[in-house]
Amino acid sequence: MTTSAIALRRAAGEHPIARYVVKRLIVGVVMLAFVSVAIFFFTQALPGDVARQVLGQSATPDQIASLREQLGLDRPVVVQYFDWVGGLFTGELGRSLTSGLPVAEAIAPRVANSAVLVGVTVAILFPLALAMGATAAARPRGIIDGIVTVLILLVIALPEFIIAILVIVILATNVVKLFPPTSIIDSSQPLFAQTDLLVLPVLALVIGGLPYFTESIRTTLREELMSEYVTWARLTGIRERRVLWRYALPNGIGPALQVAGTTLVYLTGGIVAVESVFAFPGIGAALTAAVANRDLPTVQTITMLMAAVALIIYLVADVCGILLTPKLRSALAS
Amino acid sequence: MATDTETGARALAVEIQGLEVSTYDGRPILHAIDLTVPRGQVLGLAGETGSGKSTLGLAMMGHYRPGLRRSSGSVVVSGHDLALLSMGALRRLRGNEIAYVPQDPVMALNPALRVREAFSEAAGAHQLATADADARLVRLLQKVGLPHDQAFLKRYPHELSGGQQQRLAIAIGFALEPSVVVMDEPTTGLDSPTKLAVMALVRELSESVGASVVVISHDLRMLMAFTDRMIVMCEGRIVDDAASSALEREATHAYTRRLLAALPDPLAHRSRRESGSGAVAANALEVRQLRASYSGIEITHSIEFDLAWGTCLALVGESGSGKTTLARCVAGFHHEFKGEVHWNGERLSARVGRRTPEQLAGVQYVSQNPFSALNPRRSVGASLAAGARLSGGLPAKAAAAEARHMLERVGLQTEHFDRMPRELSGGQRQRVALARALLARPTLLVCDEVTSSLDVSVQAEIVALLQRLQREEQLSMLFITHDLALVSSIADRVMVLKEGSCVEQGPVQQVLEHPRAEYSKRLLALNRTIADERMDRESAHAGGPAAYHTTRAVHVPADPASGLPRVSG
Amino acid sequence: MNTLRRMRHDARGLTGGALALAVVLLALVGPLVAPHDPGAFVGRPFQSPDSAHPLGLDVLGRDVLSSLLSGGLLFLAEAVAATIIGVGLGVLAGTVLATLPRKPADIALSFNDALIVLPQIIIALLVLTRLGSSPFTLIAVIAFAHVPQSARVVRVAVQRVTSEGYFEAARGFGARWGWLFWREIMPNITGVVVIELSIRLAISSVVLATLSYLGFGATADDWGSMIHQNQGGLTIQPLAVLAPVAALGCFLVGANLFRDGLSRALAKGA
Repeated sequence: MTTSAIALRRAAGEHPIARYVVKRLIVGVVMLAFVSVAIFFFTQALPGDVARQVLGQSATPDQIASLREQLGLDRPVVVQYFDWVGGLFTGELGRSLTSGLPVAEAIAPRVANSAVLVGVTVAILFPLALAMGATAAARPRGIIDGIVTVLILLVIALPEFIIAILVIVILATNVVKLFPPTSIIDSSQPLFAQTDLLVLPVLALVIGGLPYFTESIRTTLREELMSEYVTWARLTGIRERRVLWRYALPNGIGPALQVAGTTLVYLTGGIVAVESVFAFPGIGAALTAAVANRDLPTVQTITMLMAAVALIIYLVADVCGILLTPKLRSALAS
Repeated sequence: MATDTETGARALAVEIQGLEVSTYDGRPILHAIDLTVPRGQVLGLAGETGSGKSTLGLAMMGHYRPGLRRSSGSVVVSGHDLALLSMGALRRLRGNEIAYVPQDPVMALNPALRVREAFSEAAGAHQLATADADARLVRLLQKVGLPHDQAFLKRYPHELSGGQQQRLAIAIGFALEPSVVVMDEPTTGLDSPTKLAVMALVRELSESVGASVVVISHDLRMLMAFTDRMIVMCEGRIVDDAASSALEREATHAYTRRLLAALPDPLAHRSRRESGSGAVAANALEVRQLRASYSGIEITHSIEFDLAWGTCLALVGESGSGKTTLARCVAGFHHEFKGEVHWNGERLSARVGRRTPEQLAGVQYVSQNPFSALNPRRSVGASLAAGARLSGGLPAKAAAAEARHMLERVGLQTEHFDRMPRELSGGQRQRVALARALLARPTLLVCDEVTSSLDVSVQAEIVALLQRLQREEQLSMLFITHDLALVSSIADRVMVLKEGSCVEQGPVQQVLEHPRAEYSKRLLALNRTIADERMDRESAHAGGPAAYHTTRAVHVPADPASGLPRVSG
Repeated sequence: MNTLRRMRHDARGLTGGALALAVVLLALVGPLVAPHDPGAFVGRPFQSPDSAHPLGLDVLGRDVLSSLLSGGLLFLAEAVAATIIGVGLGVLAGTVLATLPRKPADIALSFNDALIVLPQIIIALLVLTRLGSSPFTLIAVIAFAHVPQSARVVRVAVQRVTSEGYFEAARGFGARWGWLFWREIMPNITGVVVIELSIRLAISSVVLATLSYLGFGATADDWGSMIHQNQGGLTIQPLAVLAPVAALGCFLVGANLFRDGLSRALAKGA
């Protein structure tokens, strides 16, 4: 790890942005190490008989002994931790305690399913939220502004599973029956061929992510439109549309990227509830099931994966924000 | 008849009649303003915070801040009645015919646009072809004294200095050769040499384009030096209107007289008493080899000075000279420094938390911002009583009595005791902050730019209060300021700082009258250059009464100091 | 107090407050007035509403109204406890973060940020894997998940206070930590802490309800689990789902409207 970090640093050389990315990567790795310790602590290192807790009171001594063996519970905790971390790098993530399959193999298709779910959600949510936020900022007290206000006052308070239930009530059962209320996916066919199963989960996630995103865009752009450079631009006779495109938007892009990053990370939490409501075979539902079954290797792997993805998202949002903001760019260079 | 009105319109750049501006709930901001600005005139719009001068300036742009509206009257610029124009027509007029130069270019230049883009945005809004715009930009940049090579044109605003940003903003303001330019506080935040150069530039541009310029400022001295005519505003009314050179003699309104009287005269020395007590330690404060830094970057370089008991040492320098950092080191609020600070012969710890109660009480600090000096959740009386309790360990009742007493000492009434800080003016808050410091019975008072955020007339009151307190309480004082004019009235000794180094120190009379260091000469010359400039204007415009020369020009050196950007009249 | 007085004419905030308060009252007195034992089987599964069972029966034939009346108290108590503990510790952590010297503060801050990386629901699931759900573990894990988030908010607020002249003046008078914290810092961050409490209460409720829905509640008969258990009967007996959805929705939306009113009142006061 350290050698590759040094190699990276050398490769980055003098270029300030590259140097910053490398620095952020190192910080990210340190943070991931913190997270890994926390994950390991809560799953494996907590005091108490892990094997008995997992298998329950009815387990035979043989079963308990073999689980101990499988998880390596007899060795010192520190050794167990480094074994596990080592496994993360080599891809040996252990076997699921419920299915007996290697964890990587068991969750791979679910990761793919969830990626499609989040990907489609993002493709709809981001442009929609940007358009709504910008419209609401440019036309205060207009229709879109009103909708954003309602979203921020009413919808933001609701947990995703309630939004999902309401979506089912309205579109799949009681009011109209346009879509199936559950998303039991036929794994023999590609997910894209089963779009009707995706509609409701995506809709629930879009509604869940919309309030925070649109409100943040609205606030950011409204502040920009009240800034002194916008006032001066107006007093210099620059057209209103140009003011929005050349003055407000370029300066609002950094904050907007941060919001986009936060929303993406929010979605990784949101899929846990939404996938469970629709019985969608993704990584969120897998995590719920693994926690219920005390399937430690699966819980460890999924939470580590989510943490890594979140860190990467924050890193990319930060770096893009800096690249697009001249002032931050030269702050880095000096 | 028609020709008469036409020539009238051509001769007048701005014609305001009976203009009233009020808030939407009817509170008046401007009262029946009548004002005409002839073509080519440089008009100064003076007044203190809240006098309505900026509102009037923006009204000439046909712009009213959110919450304000024009309730009656008319604003005619170059023959166009702004109120009768459509939004589109007004937009075409702005930038083209009437231009605005904002107060704070740091905030007003779009951080996402490069120099060239910022200029072409303004030019492009009025259909100036790109090639023409580029040529004009280069010409203007030359004129305002900025580089015009490709590298400079590609810079972003944050890559320019404050003075460069201001010059760029001015260049953009004059880009389309407008007939009226409104400038809001164009020199605030600039250091003195830049201030002078910028104002000289404004005059030059005004003459070359033939534009009228309206300069809004609270800086009377600067306006008197650089404008043709001055309007003084107070509470939304014009209270004085005179040729700039004649304002000092002709001002009729009491308010203007007060403003003028409050202007400290840099060359009128305070009559010094002999300060020869000195029984305890030789000096109240001794600073040795003080090298303060921020995040490892050294700000002050081996500063040394002594402050004798009962005297006042002024630390003078421009922003960035390290004078505030120095004051905060003495007070114990900036601990990243090497070197020694001795008070009453005892070495003080760098950190305020490690000083003894006697040391804490002995050295008190008053900061430059009266708006943050008082806990907003506590009444004035409670804040003072808290100070009395902390320093003297007094019981609540005695602390309150002590607080009341001290409130009167600083010229406030007992009725202020129960007020909350937000109900007090800046000057009143600064008095309370002083009172609190005095509750500790300090022997050394560190005053960090205590007047810089106050209006001129209030500044004079606070300085007078400090003088009285120093006399009555036998205080030793470290007085930090960027305003050389204040120094002579309060200090015994002066130390001039530049970029963290001491360039000169000595008795106040000696430094002010016979500065040795080049930099001190320059600083001093600035004040005189303004006087020079005034005299030039005076002789040019009004024929220049000789008597005035002799009163003002006593100390003009034969060769007005080196390195200064030469001001062209 | 002044803040509440300023809210007097804020219809939206007051409606929200009333709505949330109504749900709280329902949860408080509900267990006393429930017509049936919420665990008793009183009829056919998913039986439609009738005069004896105005909200009908659930998946196991239990009275939905009785479950609704009994299923809120523990849930709300857990949410309130987790919020107060979490924000309280957050205020302490934030104050420490704001007043540490720069280098240790940087390290502590990046540790703090590492804890924020995962969404709170994931942290809760992770911790509950081994510990199992009980009122105690639920309160502890949700409080724990609040701390780094509140600490961030409070840190910024405290830093604003410590850079003010009046804070320095108090230090210049030799004030001790207790004085500085209680008399200079706390009165000036009250607004921030109140807003933080209201935001965190909403999040506690959301996470707790979601955990219940996923089957990790402290009991099997609170509102979240009711929704989960009866979801299969949505077409036959929608009330078994919609009644707890409405209770949760009214509380959360009401609390959010109240918080919004409160922030505006506080902003006006500042």
